[in-house]
Amino acid sequence: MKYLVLIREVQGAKRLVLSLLSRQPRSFGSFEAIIDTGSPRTVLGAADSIRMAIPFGKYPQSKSLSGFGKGSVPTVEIGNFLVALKSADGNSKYLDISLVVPDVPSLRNGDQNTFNHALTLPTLIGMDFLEKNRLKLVVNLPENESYLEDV
Amino acid sequence: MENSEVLQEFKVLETGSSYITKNAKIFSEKYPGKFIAVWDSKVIAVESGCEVLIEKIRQMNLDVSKVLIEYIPFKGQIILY
Repeated sequence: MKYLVLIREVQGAKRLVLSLLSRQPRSFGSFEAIIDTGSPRTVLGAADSIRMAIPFGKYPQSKSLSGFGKGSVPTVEIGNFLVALKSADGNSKYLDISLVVPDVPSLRNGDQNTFNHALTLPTLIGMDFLEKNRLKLVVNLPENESYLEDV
Repeated sequence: MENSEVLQEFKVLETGSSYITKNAKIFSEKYPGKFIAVWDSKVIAVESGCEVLIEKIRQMNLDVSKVLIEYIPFKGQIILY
């Protein structure tokens, strides 16, 4: 099955964008994620986590993210996060993914510049998403075409 | 949840996304360094702070989990992740 990836301008540059729905209990919502093969982990953006009311207290602390703008960012780990993807033929598929999320409550109580910066960062689909879900990424920039496909 | 409801939610998301794509240049001129909220192919709020923006959307009685929020960088700024 194929899942279309949009090539669109996000934050001033052309990016690969995947539309997703959160089906996580009490944290439903829709969001876009940038496919970032330079990131080993999938990261839910701080702004998206606030929009979807992620209950941070429920999840364990994880490793800090660095190389992520200003300093290092504390995170929590969500081992099972249910999302829906839309296939190119108009069906939906559910995936249980793992991700890290900037620890918004900790950031709120810390340096405001770091927190504000974290809020500008989008959700990123990392290599773990592609590997664990056995998805092949095809990118053809000259013809403005990109998709994920089950392997 | 029915597949048709899920697909309808995707449609709303894609409509917002397409609206942002079409207007990217205008937004970068009008709203550099700001967060914008897009709903129903309209910019419904603009703020310097993301949390203030989210609060504003809540005050409009909209479901914030379905509103697209995007940070518009300053002109010439390239954001790397």
